[in-house]
Amino acid sequence: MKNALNIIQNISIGLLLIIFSCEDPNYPDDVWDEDDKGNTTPIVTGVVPADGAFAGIDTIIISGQYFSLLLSENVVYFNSMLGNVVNATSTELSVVPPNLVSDSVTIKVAVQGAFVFGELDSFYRLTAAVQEYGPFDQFTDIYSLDLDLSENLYVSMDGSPNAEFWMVNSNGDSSVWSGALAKGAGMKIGPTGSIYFVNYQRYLYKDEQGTPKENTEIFKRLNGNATDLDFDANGNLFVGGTGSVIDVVNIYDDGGITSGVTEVKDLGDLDVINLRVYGDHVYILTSNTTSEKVIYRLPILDTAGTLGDLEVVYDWSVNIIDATALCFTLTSSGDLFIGSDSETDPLVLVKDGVASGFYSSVLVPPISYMAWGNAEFLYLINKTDETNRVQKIDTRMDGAGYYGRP
Amino acid sequence: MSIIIRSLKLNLLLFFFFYNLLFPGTTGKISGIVRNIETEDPLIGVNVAIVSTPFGAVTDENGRFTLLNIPPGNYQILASMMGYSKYLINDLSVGIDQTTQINIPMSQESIKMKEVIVQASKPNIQLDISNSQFNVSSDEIIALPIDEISDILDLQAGVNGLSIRGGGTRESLFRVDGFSYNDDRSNIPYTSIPIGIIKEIQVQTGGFNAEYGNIRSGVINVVLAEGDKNKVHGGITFRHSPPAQKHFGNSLYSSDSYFFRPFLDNDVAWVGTENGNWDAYTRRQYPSFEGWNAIADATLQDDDTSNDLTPASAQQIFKWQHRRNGVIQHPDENMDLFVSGPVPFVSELAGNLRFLFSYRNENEAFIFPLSYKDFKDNSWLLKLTSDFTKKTKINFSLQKGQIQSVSPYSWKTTPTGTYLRTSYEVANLLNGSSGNSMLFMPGYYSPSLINRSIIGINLTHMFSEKKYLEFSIQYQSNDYNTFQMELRDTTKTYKIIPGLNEIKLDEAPFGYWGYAETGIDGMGIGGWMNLGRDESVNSTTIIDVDYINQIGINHHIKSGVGAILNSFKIRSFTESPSMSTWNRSMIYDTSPYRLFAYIQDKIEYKGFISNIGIRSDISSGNSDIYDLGEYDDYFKQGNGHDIEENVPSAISKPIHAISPRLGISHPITDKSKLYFNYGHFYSEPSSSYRFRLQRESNGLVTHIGDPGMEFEKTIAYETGYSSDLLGRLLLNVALYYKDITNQPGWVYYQNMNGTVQVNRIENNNYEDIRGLEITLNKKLGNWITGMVNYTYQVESSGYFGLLKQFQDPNVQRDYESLNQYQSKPRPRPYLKAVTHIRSPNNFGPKIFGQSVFGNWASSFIYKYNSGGFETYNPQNLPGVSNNIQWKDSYTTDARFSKKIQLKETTVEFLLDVKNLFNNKFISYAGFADYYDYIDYLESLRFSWEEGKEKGDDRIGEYRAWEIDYQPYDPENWQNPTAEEKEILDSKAYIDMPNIRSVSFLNPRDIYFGISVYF
Repeated sequence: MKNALNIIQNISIGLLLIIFSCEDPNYPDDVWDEDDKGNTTPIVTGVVPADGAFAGIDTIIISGQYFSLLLSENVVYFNSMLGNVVNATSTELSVVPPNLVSDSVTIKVAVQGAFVFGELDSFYRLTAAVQEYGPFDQFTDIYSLDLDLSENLYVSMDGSPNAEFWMVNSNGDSSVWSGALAKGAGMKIGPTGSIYFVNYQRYLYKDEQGTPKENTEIFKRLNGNATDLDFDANGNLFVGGTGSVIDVVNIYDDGGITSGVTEVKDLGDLDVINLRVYGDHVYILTSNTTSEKVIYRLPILDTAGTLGDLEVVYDWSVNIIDATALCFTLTSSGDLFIGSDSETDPLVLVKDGVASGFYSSVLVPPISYMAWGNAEFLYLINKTDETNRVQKIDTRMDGAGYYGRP
Repeated sequence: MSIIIRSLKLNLLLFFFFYNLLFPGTTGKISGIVRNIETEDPLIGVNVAIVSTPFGAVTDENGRFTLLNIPPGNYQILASMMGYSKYLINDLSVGIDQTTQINIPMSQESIKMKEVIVQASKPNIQLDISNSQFNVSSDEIIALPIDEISDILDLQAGVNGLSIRGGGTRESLFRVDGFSYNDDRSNIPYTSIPIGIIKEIQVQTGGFNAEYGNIRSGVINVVLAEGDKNKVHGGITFRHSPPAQKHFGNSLYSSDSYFFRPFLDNDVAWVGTENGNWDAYTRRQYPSFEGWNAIADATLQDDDTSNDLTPASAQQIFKWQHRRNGVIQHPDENMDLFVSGPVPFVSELAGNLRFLFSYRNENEAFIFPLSYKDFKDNSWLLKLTSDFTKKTKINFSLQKGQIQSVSPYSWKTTPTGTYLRTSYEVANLLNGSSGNSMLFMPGYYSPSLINRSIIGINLTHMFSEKKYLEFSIQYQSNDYNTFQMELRDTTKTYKIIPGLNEIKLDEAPFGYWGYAETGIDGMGIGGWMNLGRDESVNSTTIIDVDYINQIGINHHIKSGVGAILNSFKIRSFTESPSMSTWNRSMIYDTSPYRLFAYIQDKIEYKGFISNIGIRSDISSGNSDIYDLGEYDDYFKQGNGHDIEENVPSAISKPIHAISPRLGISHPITDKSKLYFNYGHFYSEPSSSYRFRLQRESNGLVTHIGDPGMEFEKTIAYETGYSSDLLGRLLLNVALYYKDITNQPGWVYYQNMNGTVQVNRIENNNYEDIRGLEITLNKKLGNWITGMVNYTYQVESSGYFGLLKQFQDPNVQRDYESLNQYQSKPRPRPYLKAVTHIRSPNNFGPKIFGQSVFGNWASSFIYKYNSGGFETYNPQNLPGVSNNIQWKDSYTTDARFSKKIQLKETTVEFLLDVKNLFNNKFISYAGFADYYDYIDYLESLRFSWEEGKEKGDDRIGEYRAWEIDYQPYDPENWQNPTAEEKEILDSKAYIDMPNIRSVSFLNPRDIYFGISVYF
């Protein structure tokens, strides 16, 4: 009996050993760990520039501690919006703020694994580099614009049944400036306060404040269809378009509709899309028979507006293949701003022949017309599927001088 | 039969068995003839008795005797007469409803030979049985690697679980010691019986005698042992399986599981699954997630800074809300214990009053925890037996049991008493959309307790050796309780994020919360949860009187009458405090009854045995039938609650059925027979078809039953051949056909504007089932016994009329043009095999008195099922049906045991292994949704496809997890490159189910066990 019990005991022990050896060591740990304290909370000590930055455009430096070296592991909030971290060290984060305009922005930094935000102990200021300007919306069909010396904005609109010019003063108040016989594909405020405009036809129109559309003057008949125009320092009004010529118009000539218009350049197969005068050159954005877009310039040879030979300034179609250039202007230093329908960079700044996106994070395509104000502000026409609008952007640089303003 | 001369020494054959008197379907018969061995003349007046029992008879003028009402088991038969040597037969086997024939040759007494002892040899073939039935003895049961009765039944040809020959579980009668264990609410049986006290199980798969009613598919008779009147016996069996995963692959709760990886994998958790870090295939395998950065973003969008979260703290909240780690920590265990013996002090005074008490406990962890972590089944049974007088025996039985499980109600269905248990049932609940709520919110499905009690008394009175009366009364109660779990405590909050004291969460997703609430990842943690409620109680009283008369040696006549009185108090509903449209109820009180009478005769002649009988059943719903039109206004919202009060009604009329039964067995030789049986079988539709009146909270009636429904009807034919091959093997071949009609089916009625949308019950369903069963059984043998069977079954089913009736003829026309009315699933043959290998008790050398190699045993159960068919018709081609087949499945279970005999105590060590070879088969549960399944099918290469897509795949093909997915897109499919061939060979092209964890269920499972009997 005793022996038998020993056998049972030994077998039982063996079975127990087998039982415990069958425990599965791969059972997963609990997902929840009540002792998990998380990673060290990041500390934010300062931001450069301290006095604020352009929302969505500038890169600011956030200094502090316990940031992650991996960009993706740092998340920076400006109030409720995410910034774009472009560089990271354990003590500094380079961040492009979101397009949030506020004087009281709370900057919070979350580092992956940390349960608590690191927070700047004061508000930060983000200003808008780009503002919507004027009362324009999806119901207002805008085509071109210009500004006078008082920074009043004039906008050509193709209203139904009438075209009109609207004025938006520097306070943002808007009113109908005049009725118009047609919309303006290009327009300029002239030295006398009149608006000169063209609309793809062989005519230069002229309008005065407060007049109905019937009073729009068909001012001159041109040598070719026209899309844009600009004054030079001598008061000559250069006009170009799909007629493949550049005319110069003497706006003081009162000899009749055909008088005072001189063809100063035959452009061959080039159509002019946009035309600007900078210094002693006329710049034109052109399109040829294969729709290649090139910006040329032509020297103004004399006070009568005689033009010299074409000189390529920037060959858009060679450099940028995914988009169509729609308009351009120049800075005071001669650099080019080119507006286009590019999804990524609707506005590029061409400096020394190299194009780079300008405010790409806050602008949307297409940019179809541009005009400088009197200081650093550039005014754009942006017509999207959702709306038509004028945007006023602070470029932090001066525009080229404009000779036509009264 | 060999003759052994020994001294008379009567041994008890089973360690605790003695004798009993039982009810119809629980006893057998011994009959035979005694002759003078020298003259061959019949001997008159010989006493033939069963040793240690009161059973005995005296031979008639033809030397014949009959012993009636003998419980199944092995007996010693002693024949004695003055002047003749006593004649003792050992190990004579008696089976349920079987006649054991013996011939006793007696010789005149001499000095040398006082007594003749012979060892009975069990006949391989039972010639008096005219239907397909099999009997399994306690020895055979104990040797199998199973732990419950349904596992035993499932080994037989034509049986799948408790489904017999294609019939539903509710079509079979389950009786224990003659008491019905079917729950009349659904007619599904309660089978929680301790294995250790079962003496014999008889399963009839067709050709039932007239005594059996309200069944159409099978009869399962379980006979329990009973107490010894002299001595206390007992036993315990304990089986333990250590906690282990019930599926292959990774845990549902591991960080790489379907429900976790998008939220925890650093590649995507912060910035989202669509950020490009995952390839398209990987993205398709998991739920889409926007990332914690985006979640944190959202918390910053309001003016309240106190709820602002960092991505990490948002993830921490996710972890809190998914903190339920459902890995199985409880072992699977079951324990059977029993003790039996004389009732102390009063045994002798009360007619040898003896008892048998047993307790059974079963604990099975669900594959993942629900509102309960485990399925539990606890029951105890007390059986008292008394030889009240010499001619009158009384048997008392009381069983109480409780099932703890979870109610799997679904949309628009109130609980009907079903509950979850198997891994497949539970795993199959998972889906991609709400699966996370099921895993992490304990109350997604309602907890459910079912308490059952069955009490019965049986009295047998012998008028003579050949006539006796049985009276039994039984009361069964089933108390359902599907309930709301404890309310979520929202007053107690937890600061779960160090440094963010403002963030306080309650215990969610734990506790009941009836209002819509979502976790931080969108997981539902309130509202749609724990909706089911069931407070139903149903009870059944059965009164049965039977009279048995053996007329001569050829006619065994049995007749009886009885009544079954039911009481249904059904309180089944769904409840939501927040959504009135989620509230619906099925409430009724009714007391239907059945009455029956039958008479049957077992006619036994040499060369011809027949069972002939007829039965009459009357059933009354005893409930109101409301006078309602097809599209009656009372079915509409706002009106349904007025039905009982305002609609004219009449009590349902009783229905009546006459069931003829005929069975013939024709022995061809003494070792073979042909048999045939035919019968009409009727059963009541289950109560929820007859009495259901289910309404939405707004009064819209969705289901209405019919208390006056007709009986469901089966006309069954069977013919078979049995033969004893080589004296060791029993071959049985059975062919059967079942013509089934009048089964219930819901018919949907919708009026012109859709304000009536009611399902009404009709006897509109039919089935045809025919099959072939072949069984080869080796019951005899010292070393090896076993059985193999094969079943080939063909079914077709359909319905009369239409399943949807629209008042709008245009809608009706559309419906009729799109819906088939008959389904013909293709047959799925299956095969089962059982092998026992055992060494004799004293085999080999002995050490310390124990035989080292003796009493070792091993049993193997092998099951094979051919794969089911499905329709996959992506191009909607006409006539395509059942064109793809699942892979065949097979599994092997085994038991290894060693028995040690220590005087009167037997100790047995067990090792049970389920799925011995760890076979893997894809489970549908692994598919996150229908589209996941379609993705899988599209990736397979079926034989009917063309070009590069043509292959020989069947559903169930799989790619090993360690092999990366690679689409098969050869440039020249007729001449693939070696690399492309490798894709085919490794099955790398298969888009596996998304919920990897439950794609393969039931890996190898090991139970350790020990049994001790004394």
